[in-house]
Amino acid sequence: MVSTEQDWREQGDAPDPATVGRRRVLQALGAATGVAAVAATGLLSYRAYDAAVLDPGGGAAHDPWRDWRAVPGPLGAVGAAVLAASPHNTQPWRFAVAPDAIDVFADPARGTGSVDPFGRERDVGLGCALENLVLACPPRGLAPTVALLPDGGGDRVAHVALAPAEPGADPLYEVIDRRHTDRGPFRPAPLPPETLDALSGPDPGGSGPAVHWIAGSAARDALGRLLVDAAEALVADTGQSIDNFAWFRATHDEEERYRDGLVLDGQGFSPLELGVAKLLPPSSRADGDRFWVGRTRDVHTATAAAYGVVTLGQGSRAAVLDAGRLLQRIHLRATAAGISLHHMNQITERLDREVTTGATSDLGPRLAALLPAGRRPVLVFRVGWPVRPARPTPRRPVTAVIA
Amino acid sequence: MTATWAGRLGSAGALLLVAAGVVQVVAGRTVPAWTGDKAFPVPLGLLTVALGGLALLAARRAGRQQQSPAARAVAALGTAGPGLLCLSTVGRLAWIPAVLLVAAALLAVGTEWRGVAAAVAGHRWRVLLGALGCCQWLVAAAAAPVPTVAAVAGGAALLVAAVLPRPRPAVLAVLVAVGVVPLALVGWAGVVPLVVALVALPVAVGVARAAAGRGVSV
Repeated sequence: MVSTEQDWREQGDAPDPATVGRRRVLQALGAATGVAAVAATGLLSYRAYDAAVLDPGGGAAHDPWRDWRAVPGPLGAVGAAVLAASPHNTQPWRFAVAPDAIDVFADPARGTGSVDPFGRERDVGLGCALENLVLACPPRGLAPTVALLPDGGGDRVAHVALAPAEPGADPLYEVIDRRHTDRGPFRPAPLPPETLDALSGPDPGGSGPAVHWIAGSAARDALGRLLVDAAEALVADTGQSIDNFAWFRATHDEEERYRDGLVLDGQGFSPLELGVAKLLPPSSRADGDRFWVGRTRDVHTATAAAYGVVTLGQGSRAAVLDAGRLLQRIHLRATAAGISLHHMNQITERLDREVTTGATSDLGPRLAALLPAGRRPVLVFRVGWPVRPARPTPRRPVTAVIA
Repeated sequence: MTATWAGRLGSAGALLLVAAGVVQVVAGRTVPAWTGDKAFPVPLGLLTVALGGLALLAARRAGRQQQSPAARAVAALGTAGPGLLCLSTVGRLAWIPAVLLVAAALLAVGTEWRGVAAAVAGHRWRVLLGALGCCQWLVAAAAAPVPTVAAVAGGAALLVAAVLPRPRPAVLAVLVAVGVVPLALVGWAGVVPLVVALVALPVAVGVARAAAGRGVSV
């Protein structure tokens, strides 16, 4: 290295010592700043590596979204079933597969405790999986016949008899791997009534599941406030807050290990927000609760174009399973139409919690006032035009859910 | 004498590291308590084997008697770096190799530490630019295919820019641009590629000024 001071000396034009001193201090400061900046970059790079920031939606935890379509026979149908919606992405299912039948079981180990004390959400999720399974049979040359709760109750929730048939496909089958819950903001554009009716599908009538749309501004605002109040009540309930947080997978390692649960990829962040969130340390339960209530108020309810409430006229478990099948069809129809859907279960979770604790609140009457008389709410969701595509969340592979 | 021991300890640590990588590949899921309970034991095991090989080469260099301070610094980095990195790839299996490799690095520097420190300080901008190249490679290890290609090529370009003896400014600019721009374009949402690009610019200016022999003190 050549010294500036030496150059000057050779030229017989040496600067005064104070100038040289300042120059050296500045050079040292520059070098120290460079070292600090590179060291900080190294730490960030390690975080980016550890959190797989540059591979969102990648990894083995997301393979089921890519692999399901090519698998033939009943196993392929199960591959579609595991892509269904489920509460907190708990994937509360197991399957027994035979060449001529598939049995669907509830997995009692995959509950959400005080968040779902009666297993209502679990059964809705099982209904969602059953619907995907049924949709995936015809493309594989199988005609399904479903019997709900063949044992009258217990963990076996459905027996699906399979018979050979000419291959065919429902349009909803084609979008199974594009259906994702969208927790991001929606565009401020309305959804016309005829669009919402198309999402509902044919009305079966009777006491079975039906969807009630809440799209008028007054009713929508009322339900929005109700959802925020329910979210605040849920995080104020320590038991529910803990059981909620138990299904949050904060790190990439956890995602890959468990392949279930709520993840940052599924929070509806913009790409830059997602990158920053993954670089930051995992949040605490209290921080997560605050974040969720804030997003419910400022994003979820603030940008909802309409809400759907799936209701039942009677409370049998089979009806709840059917409600799950209806929900999955609505979500698939929305996906095919380019409409986003976000499940928002906090009101019904609070209502169930109040039953178990004996507490009372005004949440039930406020929701009932928005629904047709005599109908019981099973689940709530919002719909709207997406700002950005929703991302896939981890899934356990078929091999992990075969009994 | 110290160089001989640096070579011996480093070689032993490197070979143990290779063995740890093989164990991670073969039995990572069977003995997770020993191998760090990793989600991807096979690729991490292979990476450990590769780093063990690198450490072995560096250890052989560290064992040589007559070396310049810069060569000693490179040998020390080549032995200690893989040892420390592997603490995050093979769990407890890396503890003993890491201790041996770090000890080898210290012995490689030995009594020449002043000369080594001066060599590192004299090439500080090159060292920093090379470190940024390694950052790109680290990011590439867990990236999607397209960012991986950009990060691997970018890291290589930065390392080449760091080791060229007297690069012309235009060559340096091209290498740094190739090193950071493609990854910044395809991976901007990951934030880190943008940070690397921002930091690389002044560091590259430092390399250029040092190469031109202007305004740089030893």
